[in-house]
Amino acid sequence: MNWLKKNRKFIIIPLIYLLVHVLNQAKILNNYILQVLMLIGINLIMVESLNVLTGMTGQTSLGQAGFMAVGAYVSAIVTSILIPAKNFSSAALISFKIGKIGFQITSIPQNLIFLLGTLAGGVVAAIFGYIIGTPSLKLKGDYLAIVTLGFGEVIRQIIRVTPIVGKSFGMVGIPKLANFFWIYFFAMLTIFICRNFMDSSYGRACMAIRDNEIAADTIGINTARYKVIAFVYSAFIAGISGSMFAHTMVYLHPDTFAYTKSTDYVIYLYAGGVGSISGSILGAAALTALPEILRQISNWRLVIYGLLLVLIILFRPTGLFGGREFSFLGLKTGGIKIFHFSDLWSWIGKKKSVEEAGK
Amino acid sequence: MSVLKADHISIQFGGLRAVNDFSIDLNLGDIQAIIGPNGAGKTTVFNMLTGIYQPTEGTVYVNGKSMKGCKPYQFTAAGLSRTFQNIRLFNRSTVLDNVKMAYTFKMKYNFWEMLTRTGNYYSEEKRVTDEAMRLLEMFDLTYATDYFANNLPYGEQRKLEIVRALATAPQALLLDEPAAGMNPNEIDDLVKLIRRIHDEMGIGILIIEHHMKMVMAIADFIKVIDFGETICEGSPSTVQKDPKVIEAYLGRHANEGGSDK
Amino acid sequence: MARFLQLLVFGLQLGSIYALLAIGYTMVFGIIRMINMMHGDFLMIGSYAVYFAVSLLFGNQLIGPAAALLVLMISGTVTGSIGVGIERFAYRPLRSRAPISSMISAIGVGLFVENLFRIIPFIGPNPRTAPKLMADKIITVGGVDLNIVSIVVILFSLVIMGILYYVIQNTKIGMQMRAVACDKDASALMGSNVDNVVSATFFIGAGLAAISGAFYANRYPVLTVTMGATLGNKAFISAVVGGIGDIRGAVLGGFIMGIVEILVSSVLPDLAYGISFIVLVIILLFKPEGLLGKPQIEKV
Repeated sequence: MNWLKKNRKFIIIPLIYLLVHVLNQAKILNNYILQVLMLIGINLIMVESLNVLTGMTGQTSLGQAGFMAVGAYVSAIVTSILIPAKNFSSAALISFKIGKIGFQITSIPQNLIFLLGTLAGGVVAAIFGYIIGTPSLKLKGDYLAIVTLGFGEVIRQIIRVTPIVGKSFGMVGIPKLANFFWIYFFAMLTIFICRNFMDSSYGRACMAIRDNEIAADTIGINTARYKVIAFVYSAFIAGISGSMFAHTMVYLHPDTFAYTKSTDYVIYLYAGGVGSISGSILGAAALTALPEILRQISNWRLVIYGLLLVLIILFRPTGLFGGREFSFLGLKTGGIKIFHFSDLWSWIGKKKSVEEAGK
Repeated sequence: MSVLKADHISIQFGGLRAVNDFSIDLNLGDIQAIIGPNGAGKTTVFNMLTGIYQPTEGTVYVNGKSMKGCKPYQFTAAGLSRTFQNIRLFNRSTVLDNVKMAYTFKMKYNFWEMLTRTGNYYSEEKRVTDEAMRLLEMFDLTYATDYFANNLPYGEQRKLEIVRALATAPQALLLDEPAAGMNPNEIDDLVKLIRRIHDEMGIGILIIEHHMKMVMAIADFIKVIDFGETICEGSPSTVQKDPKVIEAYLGRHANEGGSDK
Repeated sequence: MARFLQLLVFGLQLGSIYALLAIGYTMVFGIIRMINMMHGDFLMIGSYAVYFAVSLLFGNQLIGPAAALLVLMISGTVTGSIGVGIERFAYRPLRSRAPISSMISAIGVGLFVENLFRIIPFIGPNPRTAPKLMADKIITVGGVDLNIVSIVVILFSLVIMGILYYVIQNTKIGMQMRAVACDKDASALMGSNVDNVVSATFFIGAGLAAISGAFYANRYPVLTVTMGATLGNKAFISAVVGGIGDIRGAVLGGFIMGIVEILVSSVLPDLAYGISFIVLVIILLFKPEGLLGKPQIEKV
């Protein structure tokens, strides 16, 4: 029983997936909402990647979309040109129904190609992270932000003149291999490996660099090494997210990865709460969903989005989630306020009892 | 045994010779001090001894190893640790994490073991947490393990910085004006603390300090520098009587005025 | 050779537009160390202000130099005031926080302004044709055909920059600006009203952006609500290349970027936009503080 309590996240996380799947199959959750959830997953991975670099290591990056672009294009090259997934059967391996709810395990070769492409995207993005991280070591704060912005744009310019990826016309014919399962899987994987990173000597070294680089150096932390690790690790995760993006959207255009996309991720990160893993989850979810929710008032959508952004920054300095962490992450290093889901129940309960008392 | 040795080191910033021909030899169990008026170059000496600045001439040896061209973290790995005049704690981390951060370079799990959380990761983390807690306990900081470092009172922040420096298990501990901004009571506590570190750990301690009474009470060898030059060195009583030291501290006229009386 | 000189003049014309815009970036950064990501939108506001001033006052016709000057001043004042207002509400409360907060706030303000303009009916989503403030007239100097407008724009920009430089070096408000840029707290203790100085900075920066917008619209007369974004980027790069925080650097960087862009795009049109970033990365790798910037040293 104790074991169950300690590891209940391993039960709850798959259950959430099943819930979404069942609701989708039962037509309660339409495909549009599923698409938004997938977008949230992709953005969540990106924000966690930025959180490693900016939130934990304190290296402001305005070029994260560049790493994402590398991951997206490289994985797309793998799955549509090097090992074209369309040459393999896409027939589902297993497919069965329980009542109205269909379950299937899709074609194994295609999934393997997808995973291979994703890995390749991540690795090449990580190499770019190393290339960009190393010269950026000399720079701090604002200047680093500017250089990363420059590098991100240079990556985009390179894509614009590369014939194999369709130059500035965009890349078409990418197989639609990503689905909610994979995005959910990689989002959860990212959350946990970022949690593991944060709560380890690697994460602590990075946070020491963020808080005081000179002091970090004098307690024996090789600051250059850890900064490069943060760059490479962060770029790898961004590359994974890029692969998810490419195989969801099926079409890639270099201008999708303009610096405005990078600044979007900076916004998500700060709105959710910089340096906190749960904050980035929330920031990505809230701000990806917000424009979709506002779609009803199409014209005013971005006006309100801009205004809300200013208001969040003005009135919630620690982000929407106020630097808390979800309890399921198991981050018990003191000082961090832990958010238990049971708090939510008791909070709702309290509200109810207050209302009842009112009656 | 010599743990920190500097052999005629000098440093030049542009045309300015900030420190000229400075030598020191710190052994295990020594408490030495560097004193001098404001702007004499004391902190510059410290920065050269800890690798933040590279001396333009001369070499620094830590545990007999030449540190030419080494970065500060390599000095620390070689057995040296320091604190700062303006406290440099990791403010957005907890007190416990501040100390645990100092174990980074001794951690024995690799990136992959960290990501997948192997048994090695758990045992190493436990070992480090235990060691950090033991140190915090030794210096009565256990009550604050979960506080953010910048929420500690000023004197406790100084203490935490020393604890953090000790967590790297140094043979030589360099303290840059540890008593700055402290009241007399806090200074008394600090003197006791430094004595305790000296007695219990037997490491070499080098202090930069303004506070004369404290230096005289604690150091067994003092170097006085002014305008980057070593003007006098010896035991506290020798230094106290040296006319050049009095001149540097009080000015030539004060010295002459003093002799009138 | 004639072609080269012609391109050079075009480059200088584009360069003065970048330089005027870059001055705003550099002044704001110098004084409150903030990257004002929506500064390009001041250019957009300014060029719309010109459009409306001309159509309200002169009925959308080609107008003479005196009237053009009046229109420029109106546009500069209106945009400058908007800049002061934005600073007051969106940036001032964040001044004591990390610079990134005000940068994010600026991105929010940029989104807000652009999209608000888009849905206001009389500004609208459709591009508008900017009025010509000055007629094109080709003169031939030593076998080179030059547009008189280019010459006027370049000279006028240089005069404005000269005046600005004089103001900063020799007047009280200029001295206060330099003091606040050095140390905000110390200059407050010495009797400078930091809020006023920052307001003045935003007024000047946004005003110059408006003038830059008027020049740009005179050359490329299509007004859209998003025209500021790309130009803002290039101006920002100019400021960084020249050494952000230094006005002379912004001017130098602006001219360099203008000339490089025109020359490169005449040979390789594909690289017209990318070249600015390539220049940026090269400069930052070899001289991160920019051409005229001073390196920053952290004291231990």
